[in-house]
Amino acid sequence: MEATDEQIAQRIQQGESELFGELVERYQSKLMRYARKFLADSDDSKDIVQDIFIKTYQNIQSFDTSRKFSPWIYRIAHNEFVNALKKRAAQRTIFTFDIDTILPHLAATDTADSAALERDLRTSLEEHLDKLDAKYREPLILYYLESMDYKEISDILQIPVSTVGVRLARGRSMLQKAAANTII
Amino acid sequence: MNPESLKDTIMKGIHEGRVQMRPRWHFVLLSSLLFVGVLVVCITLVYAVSLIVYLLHANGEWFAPSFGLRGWFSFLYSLPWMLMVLLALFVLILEILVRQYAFVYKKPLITSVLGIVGIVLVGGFLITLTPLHNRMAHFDHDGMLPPPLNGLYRQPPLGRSPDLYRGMIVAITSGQVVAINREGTTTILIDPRTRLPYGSTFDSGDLVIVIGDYVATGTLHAFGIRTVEPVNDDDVPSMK
Repeated sequence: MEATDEQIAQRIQQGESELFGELVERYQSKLMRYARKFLADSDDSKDIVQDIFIKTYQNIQSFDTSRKFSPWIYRIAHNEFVNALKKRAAQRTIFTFDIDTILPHLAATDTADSAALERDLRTSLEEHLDKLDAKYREPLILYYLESMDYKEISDILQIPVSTVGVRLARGRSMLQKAAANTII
Repeated sequence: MNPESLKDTIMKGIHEGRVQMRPRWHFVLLSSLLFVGVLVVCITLVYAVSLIVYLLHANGEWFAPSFGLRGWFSFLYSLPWMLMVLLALFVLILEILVRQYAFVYKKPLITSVLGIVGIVLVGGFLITLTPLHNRMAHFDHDGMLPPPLNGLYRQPPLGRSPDLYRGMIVAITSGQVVAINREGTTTILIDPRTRLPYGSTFDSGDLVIVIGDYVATGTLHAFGIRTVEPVNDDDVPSMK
């Protein structure tokens, strides 16, 4: 049976550094896709992903092997991407204080029609994702492209689960508007 | 991108020692520092809140709202607003520190801030039930408190409302009581309009707070008067 990410991380912590290559293999294409989508095809995606792996290796002793590895490495990726975006003058204000995280929200629930619209949404994601603010873009990428659940996204972005629901709902709505504008 | 190239570059860096794993103790130290930081800020907040409550009790301002709107104004005037702004800053620092923990960042900001404020207030009130501040006040009067605590109890950082008087009754006559405190003797005039939220029975030796206007030097016309419990065993201002 193939070792889990967590088992590999534990063995790396115990000194088997060679196994880190296995984690790189497992995550490089996912992180490259995440980087391309989140950074909107930035030229420096490869360098950023390389930095993510370096930071992952440097900090792997802080990983709690009783928890899931993927949200942990995605959290590192998130921080790197945010830093990269902050360097871009046009995006400087995207991660300022966010009112969505202040007040409690009702938990968002998936409805039957939202499932029916999912295929259209995925098409819209491919075409219009770069038109969205990063704070709405990121949860959409994690939910639809990386198949993370609300709790995992909450851990990666370090925001309340209810806020994840709010951002996903707003992101979906923005995508639909962007798609409608394109058709017109 | 060649998928092997990224892996090769990173593994090469690891083999050559350019990319090194930080030791576990580094992270243990960081989380310990965070925990200590949270604890220090928390203790500071609880202590400061309990100090404010204690000093307001000792000054008598705590009881002023029982005289109605005028009492509330006096109470608000006496609050140490600068210290309270500092406390708000400390709550913000504490929120930033505890937001590193999953059980906090999973909650909306308003919930965690209200949680912190609630814990600090409850903790502060519980501390006022202990003899801590009485002992600290004794130490301060004996000049044994180190900076920045020295003088806090002798010269409390409270606004001194000119309306409020606190003293001990030494004599009662018709329509007036005579009370003394550290500043001297004061005659307190009571008339039918004087508010008596806790009744009109006064005895010599009672500690009272009075809100009113000075009509002459050493003579205070009481808008309201009530007895209060001594803050500590030797809280007998007249005997000092």
